[in-house]
Amino acid sequence: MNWFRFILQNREQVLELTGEHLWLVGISTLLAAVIGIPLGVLIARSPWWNKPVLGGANIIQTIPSLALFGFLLPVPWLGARADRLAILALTLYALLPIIRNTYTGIRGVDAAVVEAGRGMGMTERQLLFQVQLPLAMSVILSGVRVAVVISVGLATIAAAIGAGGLGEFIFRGLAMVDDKVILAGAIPAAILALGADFGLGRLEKSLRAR
Amino acid sequence: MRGFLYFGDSVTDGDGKTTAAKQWDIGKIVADVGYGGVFDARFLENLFVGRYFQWLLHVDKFHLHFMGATQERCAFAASDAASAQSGGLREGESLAVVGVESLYLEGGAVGLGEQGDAPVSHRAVDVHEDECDLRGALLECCRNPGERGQRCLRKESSKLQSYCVGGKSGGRVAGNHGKWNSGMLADMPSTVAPANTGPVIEFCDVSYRVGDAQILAGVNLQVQRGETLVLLGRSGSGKTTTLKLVNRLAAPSAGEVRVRGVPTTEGDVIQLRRGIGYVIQEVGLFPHFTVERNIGLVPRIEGWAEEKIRARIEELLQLVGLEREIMSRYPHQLSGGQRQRVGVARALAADPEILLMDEPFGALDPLTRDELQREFLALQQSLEKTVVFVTHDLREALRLGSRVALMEGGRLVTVLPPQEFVRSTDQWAAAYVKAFGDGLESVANRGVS
Repeated sequence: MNWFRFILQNREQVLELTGEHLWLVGISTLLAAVIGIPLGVLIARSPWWNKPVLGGANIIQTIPSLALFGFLLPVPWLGARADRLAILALTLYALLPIIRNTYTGIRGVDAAVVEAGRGMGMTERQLLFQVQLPLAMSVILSGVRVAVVISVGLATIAAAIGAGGLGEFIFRGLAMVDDKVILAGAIPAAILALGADFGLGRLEKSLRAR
Repeated sequence: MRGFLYFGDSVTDGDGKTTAAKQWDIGKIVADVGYGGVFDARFLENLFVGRYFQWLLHVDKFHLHFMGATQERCAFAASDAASAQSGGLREGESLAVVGVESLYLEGGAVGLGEQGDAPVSHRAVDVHEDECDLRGALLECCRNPGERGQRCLRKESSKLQSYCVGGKSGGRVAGNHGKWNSGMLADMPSTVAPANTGPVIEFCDVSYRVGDAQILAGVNLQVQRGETLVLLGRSGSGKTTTLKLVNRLAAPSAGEVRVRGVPTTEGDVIQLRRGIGYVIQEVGLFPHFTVERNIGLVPRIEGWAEEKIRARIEELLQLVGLEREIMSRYPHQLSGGQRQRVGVARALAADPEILLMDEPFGALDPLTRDELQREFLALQQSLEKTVVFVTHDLREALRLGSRVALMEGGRLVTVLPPQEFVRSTDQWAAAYVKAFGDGLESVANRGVS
């Protein structure tokens, strides 16, 4: 249990890096939700946008993460600070699950329910905010959950461009060929991912119960 | 000013002449107001919001089923054993409601008359609450004719008499052979709007196609105020599409659908839909809304005051026979029958003139279905909405419809009253009747010969 002792010895730094990690993941997921949910709504309502939007998000997903960080490095304002860049990259990766689940969720709302609402004279806006989005919420949330879990993992790579986070330990450990340092980064990251997954899972379940 | 209201198909005037009340505007209006269709929402509100409407509904609760609308006859009949035993109205007895100008303020009257070409006796009661509890008196009278209730009716009727004929002794309203003075009808409340007599819903040569598929072809159909038109047909015959054309969930490819004289493709579709109640199979309830929010949906999006919505919801729950306790439940916590009742209450929430019902009872077990059909009949006879009802069940169609429209392959085959439908020689109608077997005549006649 060398790594455990290492963590205890360096607990301040571990906590600080965990905080950075959380910040990267939190901000990027938030951005991805803010962009991705409206896009998902858009493609659920007008099929014409379906292919370009989902296609674009798919393509982003296929770019290797290190390469994406590299691509973005020369961009003027972004490249100036590594965390901005990391957040942008993580946001892009988180988009696909969120867009896709929003789309699936809204399309999955019982057509009869929507039609009943429409038949009673609800406007499209009322339908969206009072019926479709609330009913799709658990599916959308499971998309967010996937995005968070992916981001927690990906954020470790952000350390390669100096954006901080638990990846610092991992890269340092790799350079030093020291397991305990690698584990001091990897294990908290894994716990973060599991914790986020569990927490959001509970939230999702409570929404579904209604 | 003195107004006079009368429910019924006919009255005898002072000279012994029998006149169809419905020919008089007021008769029509009252038929519209008291039992259904809206002719002027404001007048209706003045007249029947609150206690008057309440007691009419309460009367209904006590099994005084209003049998008349489809027969063009205003007859309340004690239609089940329970009320017959408790001394309810005799079978075929009619309930006439008469009133004075202050009806919507404080006065008014109810008369019980016997069915026939002319009402021969009328027991009337003042609505004035200080002197007589109308509801109590009426129920008392129904339960126990000759007892306290009737005394009350009789007592109040003398006052009514003076109301009616301005002190002259010509109109013997109560307890006697009615002599109805047409002069009583001279002064109408000025708030009364002229009754609109045109069809409420009209299909003019309507076709509907999706791509190459012709769903409906050349449908011509008129739905009159206060009637229940049943669209009958097998799956895929176009009945649901026909229904959706009314609230413009579908727009005709050719021809025109007119609602209250206005083509559905013109005007604000949202307003059109809010004026039409829509009931579909139980899935139409919002699963994430409580019963209370489901029922209050249209009033809320229409921006009613919160207290008004609450009051309306409670009224509706009572109307459809649901307990108050279920208000906070979610649809999945209800039984099928309860869900369907909530669906009906939701459709009625903003008091629409038109009600569209798409196989509302299709998913229910036979007993619950029978119960809901019975309640629907009672409800429809007290509210007299203009209803378009889709079903594939001939028995249901004959039982509920004032006319049955048979559809086949996107065409309207025939439109007939139930009694004629069972005897129709039309091949499709005959095929339908044959498939459902014997005993249909009695369903079609509904025990009313």
